[in-house]
Amino acid sequence: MSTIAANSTCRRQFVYDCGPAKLVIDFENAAWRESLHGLLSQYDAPWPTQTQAITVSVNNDSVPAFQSGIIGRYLTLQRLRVDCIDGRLVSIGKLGSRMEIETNAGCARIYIPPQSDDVALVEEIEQHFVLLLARAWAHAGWGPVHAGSLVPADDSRCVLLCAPSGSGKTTLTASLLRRGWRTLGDDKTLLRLKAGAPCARALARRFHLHPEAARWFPEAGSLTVWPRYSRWTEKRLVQIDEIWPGCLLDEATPAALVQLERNPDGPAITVVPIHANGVLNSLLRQVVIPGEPGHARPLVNCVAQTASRLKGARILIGPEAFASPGVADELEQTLQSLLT
Amino acid sequence: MLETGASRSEVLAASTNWGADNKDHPKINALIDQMIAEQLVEPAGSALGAPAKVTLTKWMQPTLSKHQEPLQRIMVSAFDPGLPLAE
Repeated sequence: MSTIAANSTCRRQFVYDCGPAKLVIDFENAAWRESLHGLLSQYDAPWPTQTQAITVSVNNDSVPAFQSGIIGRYLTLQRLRVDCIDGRLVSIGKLGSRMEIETNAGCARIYIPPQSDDVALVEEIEQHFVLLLARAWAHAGWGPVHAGSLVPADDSRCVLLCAPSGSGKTTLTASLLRRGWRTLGDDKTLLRLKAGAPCARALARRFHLHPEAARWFPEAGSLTVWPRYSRWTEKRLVQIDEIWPGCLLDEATPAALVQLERNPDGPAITVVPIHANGVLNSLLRQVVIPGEPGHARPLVNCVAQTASRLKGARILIGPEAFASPGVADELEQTLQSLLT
Repeated sequence: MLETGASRSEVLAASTNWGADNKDHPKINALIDQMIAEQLVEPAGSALGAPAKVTLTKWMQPTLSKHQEPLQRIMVSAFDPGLPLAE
């Protein structure tokens, strides 16, 4: 779990352990810490080695002049444009927030303008922090992958679950956790090559589970008792090992990939094999690749090397699939067959 | 080998080692030209290492094909490259 510790000499300084990065954040306005705590505390998987510390200052009232030269060559996100300037990453938000990252120096500065729509501004600042963490993880040698994972009992190999948000990664994962499978997480995984072989590592221990999933998984109880994940979704932030104890793993070896899709007019489950190019395409779509060649190269290399070792399948999930008898059996058999 | 820097002649020599013959060289040169045009390679100061050791059973002409669907240009976040589906 992430820890928060008030520094004895500076009451505004807080420390968050976020996988292979440690953020030491100095908030000029402590209210911002309250607003950002939900995001910063979610990367709570244990990390075995010493992590890189990044000092972050969050300044509420000293916004430098808007720099119109930032056009998003490095990344264009929904809320941010990011450029790499003289070795620094500079991101600006639509509401006028700004971040400068000097990863090599282990520091970042965030400037927050006065703003009436606080919720939108918090979400913008969250995206600065996600960018900062993604860069810090990459700097530490890990590639962030938007994928879930499933590991059979008594195995150390995992199936990566690739799909856009809202496609059912978490529900499919839960359907097999209750049958003894384990997981690194439902949608956030770190990936690296270790002695030439891919290695996946857990980053966040809590799942984003829709309350309706309780219809199919009665042992989960009422999921509405868990806190909401964001204002945009009904999904809840669920400590999944309280429902299925022992289901969380820290590390696994990727050996297969499932590209998960909704199939609103189709049968409960359809399985279609995919070959090497399809596996690579599917994994590439789960990774944010920046425009800076020096930053993109290790990520692409890691994805390509990993994809070359994975067997793959598309799984199309129909409506009410998890209420259908036999679907979990077929899922389990399909995933097992990819690992043999 | 392009990851660590290689000249055109080094690519041709490595390809020959991997099974290409002289009549394949124009196609290999065309591929290199295409990679340069697509900005998939950039000038390097010097070659940094020997070509990767690979074991081939059969030489196949390398080709460059673009994704049918381009990768996302606008992403949710620096972690999530996709746009969320409506729920």
